[in-house]
Amino acid sequence: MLHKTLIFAGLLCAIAMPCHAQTSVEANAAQPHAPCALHIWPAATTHTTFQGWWKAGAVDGARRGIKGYPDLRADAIDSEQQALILKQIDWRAIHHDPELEVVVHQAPTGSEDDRGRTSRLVSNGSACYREIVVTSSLVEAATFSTRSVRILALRKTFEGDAAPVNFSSMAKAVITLPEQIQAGDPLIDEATRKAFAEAIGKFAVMQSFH
Amino acid sequence: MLKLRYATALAAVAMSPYAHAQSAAEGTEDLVSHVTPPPTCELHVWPAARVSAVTQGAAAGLGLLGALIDSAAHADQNKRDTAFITGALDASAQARVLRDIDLPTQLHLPPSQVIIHEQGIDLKSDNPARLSDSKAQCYSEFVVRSLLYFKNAVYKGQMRTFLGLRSYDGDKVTFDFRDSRHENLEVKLPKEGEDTGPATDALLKAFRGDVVFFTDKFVKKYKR
Repeated sequence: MLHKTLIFAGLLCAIAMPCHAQTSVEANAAQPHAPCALHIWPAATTHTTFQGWWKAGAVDGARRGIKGYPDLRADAIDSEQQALILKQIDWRAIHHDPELEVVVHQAPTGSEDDRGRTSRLVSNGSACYREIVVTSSLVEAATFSTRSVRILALRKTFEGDAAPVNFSSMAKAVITLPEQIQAGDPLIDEATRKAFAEAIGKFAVMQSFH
Repeated sequence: MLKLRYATALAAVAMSPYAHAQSAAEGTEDLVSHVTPPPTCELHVWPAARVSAVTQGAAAGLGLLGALIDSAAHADQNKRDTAFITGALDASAQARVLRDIDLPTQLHLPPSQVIIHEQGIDLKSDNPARLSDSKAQCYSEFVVRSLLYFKNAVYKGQMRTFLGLRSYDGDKVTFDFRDSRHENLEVKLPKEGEDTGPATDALLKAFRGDVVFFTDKFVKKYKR
């Protein structure tokens, strides 16, 4: 009885295996050059940090109306502006992949724990799928230091059904302002956006090596 | 065949009006017995309103001039560390840890609705008024007042968390407890381009340790 069962199982395998192999071949033939997908999300907001002579430490001090904290123009790189800047970056050139399918999302991921998340945020079926999430965006200023934009970002690489591989790091770019400039000058916003773009560019390059 | 007959009979019973009515009645009963009203007590939680990082070198101990020189020498590092902690331990990361701890149970408070605010708030000792607009009779506030990273020649990097808890019975403050606690960090804070993962995990672990220490101390002082 056991002998017969084994033969039957063997026959089933013999029939099933070529079918499976054929299906795989057909799937490969149907998508010979399926492009890799890269989805990018901005941070929910931009925070400010400030270390002055007499005032220091309050996060978003000016936004919260605390005296002594300068307006660091963090709104210049709100979520919407970040998305616009992220769209201007040549992600295909950075990844040396002219067919890379790039999608920049307008709103943040909404995921509470992007680092710990093991599933894709967009299930497009592409075996080669990556996510870049700007997890934090900050405008920082301190006595004895320059004003700068800093980003913390995360790149998640998904290959098939395997667990994603994370790379997270931070990048900074100095906000370069003309010497004679008044508070509220639109040039400040422009310089802040430029610094954000530079910081993102740095992260984009560093993640391409990992 | 036997299975098919059994399935048909089951379907006939299921489709009959009696069966439907019975299921509906059972369902209502289930709802009545399982849905409990939300707790009337409220626990409002605020993330850190202040974050600072201070690294000192040997010059810091050489008077005012030494402190100034040291401050200038470490300005970029302090700015970087402050921003990193602000980002890595942002409001949502803190909320995740606090939710995981289950604050009302940990603090031995009555069952409470936990309301987590997104923006930090400064807790002033001279103002006993509630920090939110809530009118709940049974009301508590858990405030992460500040996060401070400190490092010098003697101490390796340590993360200190300043916390506060106030409870109200109507307008009356029943207790106001504040404390701080530090945990040593097992890793260095990262520079630009370095992997931020290990330091993020270390900060989360230290924050959790600080909060648990605070809640344990509170329970020891007020609830035993």
